[in-house]
Amino acid sequence: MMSATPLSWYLLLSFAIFSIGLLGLLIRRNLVVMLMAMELMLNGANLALVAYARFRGDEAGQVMAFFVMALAAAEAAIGLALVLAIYKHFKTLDVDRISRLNG
Amino acid sequence: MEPILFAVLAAVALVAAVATIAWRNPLRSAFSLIVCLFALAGMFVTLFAHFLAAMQILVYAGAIMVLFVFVIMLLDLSGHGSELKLRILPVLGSLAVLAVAGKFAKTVLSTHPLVTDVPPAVPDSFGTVPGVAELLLGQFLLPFELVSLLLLVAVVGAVVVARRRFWREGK
Amino acid sequence: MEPKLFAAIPVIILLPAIGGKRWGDRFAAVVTNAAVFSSFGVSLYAWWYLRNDVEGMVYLYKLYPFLKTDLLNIGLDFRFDRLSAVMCLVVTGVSSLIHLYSTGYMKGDRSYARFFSHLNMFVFFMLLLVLGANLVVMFAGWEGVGLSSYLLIGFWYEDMEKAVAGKKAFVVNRIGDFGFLLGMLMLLMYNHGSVDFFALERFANSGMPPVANELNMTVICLLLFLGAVGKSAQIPLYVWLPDAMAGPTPVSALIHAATMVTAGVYMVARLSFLFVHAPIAMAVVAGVGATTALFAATIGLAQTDIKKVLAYSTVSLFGYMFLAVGAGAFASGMFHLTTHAFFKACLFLGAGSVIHALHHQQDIRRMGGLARKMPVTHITFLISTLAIAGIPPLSGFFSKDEILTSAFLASTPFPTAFKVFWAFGAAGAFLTAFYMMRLYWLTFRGTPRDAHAHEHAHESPWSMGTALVLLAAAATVAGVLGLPGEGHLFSKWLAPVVGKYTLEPHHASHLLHWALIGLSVAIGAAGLIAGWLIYRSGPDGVAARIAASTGPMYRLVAGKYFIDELYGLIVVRPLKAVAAFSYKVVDKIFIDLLGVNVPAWAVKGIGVLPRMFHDGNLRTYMLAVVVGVLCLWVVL
Repeated sequence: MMSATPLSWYLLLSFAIFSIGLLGLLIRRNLVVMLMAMELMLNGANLALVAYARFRGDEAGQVMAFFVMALAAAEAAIGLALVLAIYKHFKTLDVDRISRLNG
Repeated sequence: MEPILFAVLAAVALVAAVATIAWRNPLRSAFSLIVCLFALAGMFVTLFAHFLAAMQILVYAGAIMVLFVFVIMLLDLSGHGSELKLRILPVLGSLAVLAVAGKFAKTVLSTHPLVTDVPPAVPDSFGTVPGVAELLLGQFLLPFELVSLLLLVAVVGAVVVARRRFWREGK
Repeated sequence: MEPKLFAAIPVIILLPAIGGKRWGDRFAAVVTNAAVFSSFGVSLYAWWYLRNDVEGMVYLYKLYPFLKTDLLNIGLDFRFDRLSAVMCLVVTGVSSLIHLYSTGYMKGDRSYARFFSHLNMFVFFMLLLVLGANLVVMFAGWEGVGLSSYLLIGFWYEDMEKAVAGKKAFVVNRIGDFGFLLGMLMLLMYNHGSVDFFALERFANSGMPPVANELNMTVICLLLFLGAVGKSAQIPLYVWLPDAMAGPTPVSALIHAATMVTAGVYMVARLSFLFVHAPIAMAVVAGVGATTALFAATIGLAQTDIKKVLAYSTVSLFGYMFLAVGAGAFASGMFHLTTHAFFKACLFLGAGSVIHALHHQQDIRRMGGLARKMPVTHITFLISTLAIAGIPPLSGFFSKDEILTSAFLASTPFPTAFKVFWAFGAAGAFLTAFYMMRLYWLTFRGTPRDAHAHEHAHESPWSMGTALVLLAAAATVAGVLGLPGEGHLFSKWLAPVVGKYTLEPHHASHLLHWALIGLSVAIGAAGLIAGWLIYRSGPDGVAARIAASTGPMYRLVAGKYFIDELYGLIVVRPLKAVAAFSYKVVDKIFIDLLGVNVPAWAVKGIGVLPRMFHDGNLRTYMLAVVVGVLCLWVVL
């Protein structure tokens, strides 16, 4: 009815959020923040899926986004459990200091 | 009206996303992320994904982010500062991300019209609970069940991993 | 045939292999002694069984085919015939007594159990050697006894000198083993891949071209004899045996006098069917034997270490055995081997008893007057001395006299040479009697020259005494096995094995026979009397004056003709130069540098770049993923 914004804008926004998430993943050292950056990336991808669903008139894209959300929930659960365990073990969440696998 | 809404939501989402990775305090990052998720939920509404928008707020902003906040509070990480030292790694990372983003933008701009792009007309049920449920429990029943199984596994796994004894023995 | 006997032969071999340290010294001693004594028992049983069987019966036991191809047919086979029976009895009998003796001699040693397990390993390999039904099994035993010998000479390995002596024995033996191996390979080539003694005997008697060609046979026999020369310490490879005295005395008695060194003689007797076809090789065997007999005896004159004298005496007496087998009198050689095993083991054990009593004093100039302190050792030593000197009716007389007679009357294409060999042998016999008397007198009679040591000397424990008495008894009576003429039980016993190949000596009148016998008795007695006359007054009286008056000659003999130094100059030095070259150039530059280090450096250099990405930091890995995705994107 009123969707006048072209698809390309949605896609650009989606990629922008994805890239911000990726950047966060690369530059932050705090594991929790890194996990949040990953959530950002997933959301960027979700936006693209939903936008495509709208512009192609196909709800399958939304179903995919739904699955991504479920996946994100699983990832958050496991990831945060690991964060807890790592914190107990190393007493820090700084990935620069958790580098035992050193070649 | 709609492009204005898009512009506002997009601006909020972008600022909140940048804030998420920029705050030194993880708690602030988490709240910024919640703001970003809300903005995206609003955008889902403009895209006729009503069900998903509700899920975004309930599951994401509601459940997952609460989990994040819990963990941050539990571990008392707020104020663990002095991150983001400008070292070679972040610089290289930023350059790489810039390259990725540039590549994305170039692809989009070369394949999609920037101004005139009219979405097709869709039925009223598009993106509502019945509409999505039709697909989810029909065509995508198997993946749906698999995802529920995955969630179960994740829950069990999380319990096992987070248990204290597991790591004691693992040492 | 009795199947039990077939089972018994491997038992003889395996029994002494039991040993070990797990349950303490006492246990080790009991187990190893029980093993050796029971293998002696089994040998006796097997011998009795063979005795009552058809004459010339050979028991074969094929354990399993070891190598079976179109080109090779070698089995892990054992053969028990009259020759192996003799060797089995000698080996297990003497080693039983020496094991018993060792329980006393080695008491308190830090490595008591190790000693017994090595000793048992030696017996195992020795039995493998004498029971092998083909040259390959024999060679396995041959190498095995060499290994045991090496381990036991260097038994007190903390002492560098002793460790080096072990190494020397091992290396010198390698030279001989090389000859053995080459000879064996030639036989394998000519005899269609089989070195079984049956097959070889048939092959040797077939008169087919390789046999008919005397040169081939001579080469093969000389190569095999080179192995015997190494193992039995003959010229020019005898140098290891005197040094081997660094080992514990029971080892010297068992390995370096009574058993292992007999392997060479046994091998020539075992392969008599080959050697008779090569008269030149036979003459060489006899010549080497006779020369060694005289040469080693002269060195024995001037040695002052009680064990060294006995060592040179051993070298010398093995020369006689080779003289016998070289003259075609295989049974005589084996007979001397047997009697020698008794009296020389007894002498060594007696020497060990003295050394034990004097707290590791081995210099005979510091001994003297021990007769009253150690009556058992004294009497047994005296009996053995008389036996080795060839005084009737002790066993040494019969066996040595027989050898000299057969050398004198040998039927050979080179009669003159054999007359010379006989003369060498006779001269050696005189010297043997002389230096044995010197050894006896300086050790047991006269006045004590080291009052302190003499004061503390004591008779050895019963275990050592028993072994001495039994060996002395055997040395006394073993002669009845070899009464001259028809009564010669020993050659009758061996007749089915070596009888066919024994070269009948020239017929000689009774008068000549008796003259030769009388002569050898006279020689032995003369040697003893001369020794007594000179050494009756101790080492400083007449003896010192004679040594001084002969000056350079005495020094030459006392310095063992400087053979070790000569070998050092012509063999060891060039080898060391070659080794230095191969170490400094081949090893250091080609192998270490070009072969190992350069590739390693290259790999390490290549690794520098990837290593930077593996710093264990999660973010680095992620950056790598992003860059990788980018690259893929660009490429696709």
